[in-house]
Amino acid sequence: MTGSMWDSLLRIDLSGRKAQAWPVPADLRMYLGGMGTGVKLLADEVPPRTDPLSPANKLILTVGPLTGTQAPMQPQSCIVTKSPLTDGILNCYAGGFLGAELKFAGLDGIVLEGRSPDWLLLLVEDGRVSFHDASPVLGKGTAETEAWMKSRFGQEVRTLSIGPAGERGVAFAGVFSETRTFGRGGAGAVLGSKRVKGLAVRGTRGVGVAQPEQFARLSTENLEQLKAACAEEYNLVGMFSRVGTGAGMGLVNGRGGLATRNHAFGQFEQAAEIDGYAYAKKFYTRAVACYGCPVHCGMLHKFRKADGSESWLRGPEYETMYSLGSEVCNGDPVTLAEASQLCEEYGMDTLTAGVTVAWALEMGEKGVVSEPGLTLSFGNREAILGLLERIGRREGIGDVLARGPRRAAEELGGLGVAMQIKNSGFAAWMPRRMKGTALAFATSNRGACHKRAPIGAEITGQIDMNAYEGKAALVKSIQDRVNAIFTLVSCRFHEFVTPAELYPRFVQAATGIALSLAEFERLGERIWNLEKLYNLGAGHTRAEDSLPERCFEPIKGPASEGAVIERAKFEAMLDEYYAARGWDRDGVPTAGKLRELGLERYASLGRPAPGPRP
Amino acid sequence: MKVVFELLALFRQKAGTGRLELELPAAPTVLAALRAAEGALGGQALLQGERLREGVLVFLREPRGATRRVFQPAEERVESGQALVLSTAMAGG
Repeated sequence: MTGSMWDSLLRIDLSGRKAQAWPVPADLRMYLGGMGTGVKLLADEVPPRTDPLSPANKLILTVGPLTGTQAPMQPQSCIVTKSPLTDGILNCYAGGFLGAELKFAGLDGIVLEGRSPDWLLLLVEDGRVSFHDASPVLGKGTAETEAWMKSRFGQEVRTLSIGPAGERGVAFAGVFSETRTFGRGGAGAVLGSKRVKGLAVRGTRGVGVAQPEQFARLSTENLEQLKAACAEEYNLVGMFSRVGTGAGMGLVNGRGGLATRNHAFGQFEQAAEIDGYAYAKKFYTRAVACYGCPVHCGMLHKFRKADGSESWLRGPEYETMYSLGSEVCNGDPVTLAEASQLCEEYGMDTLTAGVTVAWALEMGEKGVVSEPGLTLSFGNREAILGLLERIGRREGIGDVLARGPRRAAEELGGLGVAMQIKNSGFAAWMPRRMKGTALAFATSNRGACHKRAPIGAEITGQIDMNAYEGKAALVKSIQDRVNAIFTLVSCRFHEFVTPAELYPRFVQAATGIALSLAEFERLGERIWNLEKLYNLGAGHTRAEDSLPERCFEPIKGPASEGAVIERAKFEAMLDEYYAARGWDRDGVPTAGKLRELGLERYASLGRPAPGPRP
Repeated sequence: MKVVFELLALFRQKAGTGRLELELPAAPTVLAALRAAEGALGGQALLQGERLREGVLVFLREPRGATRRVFQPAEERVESGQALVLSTAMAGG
């Protein structure tokens, strides 16, 4: 083993119901873990033209060198697979306790291969797997499925599951893990295509590190930084710890950057009714922490549904307050809570689900689409909830919407106002308001990604959010750095407090692998390029690194007045970004760049095979 | 002149309102306006000496809605038609 890593992945062949430990080869170990391990494995083993819902796709669940250790805020695990939503490579993350439990089970990850003939629940105990009949929970929601697994396998197991949306192949079905979600890109549909309804993990092993004393010092230093941040009244992470991720919705709204009414407006009049403070004030609230996290940004809310029954809601997170709130003109926190809960029950990403619903509501108001029994208009509770149910069940118009906003618009019309990139719904930020974020959304390998964008600097006015200049290099550096951090599978909020130079020091103390900060970030760049090659091989072109037409029209509303993306300036910014990356004008990494990154042997990966995309 | 403060996020929550108006001498510095606001907001600490307290975000809103961040409150003035926007943090998740 390499310090804190077991150097072992569990490969589970679902077709043959076999499993075996697979020793991680030396070249893969240099990708550290998490996203790095997943991306390299997928690139090596799943050809880019693979149908994402076929048995040939693989779902790779990984953890990193800091997972399961005493380092704070390292609870997450990562899924890498080929996305049924974008038809490109996907990486997505969830916190909670599953990651640490995988590590305690003596694993750096699990690779799910093939397709089971029957629906299964998997139980992994200290590296051994057993296969169980899933029929008692088939068709059940995610929370019910996970509760059933705990009752069957023991309350101490850590779980993940899919809901009916994943079973039915909704392209943005998520994988749910207790209070957290692998939301983006449709990993739930991939799991469903393999006929895996859920996974439970139990581990009893301790996790060592290469340099225990140094690691303990670093962990203490980092914990003190986080505690100080949490204690500061106006610190971002501190506010997350008190009211959750919806703490700053007011700022976004005040600066005209809160996407409203399918991104037509930049301010929502009822934002203060649905932000983090509103939920904390209106509902009984309980904070929940992930493994080893002093921040506890997760909020559980007890609320009364419109029918009078009481219920607990996991969330909503800020992104959901947008997608099922302002974006669909829903200022009612109860309707938002019920909508969020429907997404959880069916097992769907609230972001792409909300964006798709918003598009359908606009198309409904324009008379382009209709659905029996529903009046498709913004703010209409029955329409919002009804569309989500139809998507989850793939009934009526829901069957088309379940393919994602772009594919729905290609079939029904209104492509220019489908707020998506690579078919992935926009996260809660307005590209027209924030030009760096526009570039980050467009060039994101998984589509419209908010985790690797200069959002904080732009929305707080640290840099001019209207400027195009300087954004290309900034976006590249953020993408590379965050990719590197995602090899550790650190929580995204960890970096808000932690100095960048601490990461390679943590890596060395955990694994013994010595990296400078520049080498660490170069690893992130290598992974970014590998992802890009994969997407090119899948048939993506420069056209996929663009924005919907609505982004080239001015935002409506006073605080955002005149905010627009000028097409020529956007294209110039994209050229500048490609040049900064060492890519040609079509976004293809040059031979020199691949050589520099040690990726020469992957050059052919980026050449799409002839024939139609699956 | 009447200076309008827009209160966002935690400040709105604490004040119980999204708007505050104070009568101040013409074209006050942002610093003077914030000192007046501290009193009106029940002793809310917005400043550390002449600098903004860590985590406090202040913007000047132009009459047509655009906002611009203020980093040096002693060096900028609130002109007629402008409003001061007080906020904390961004959002995430």
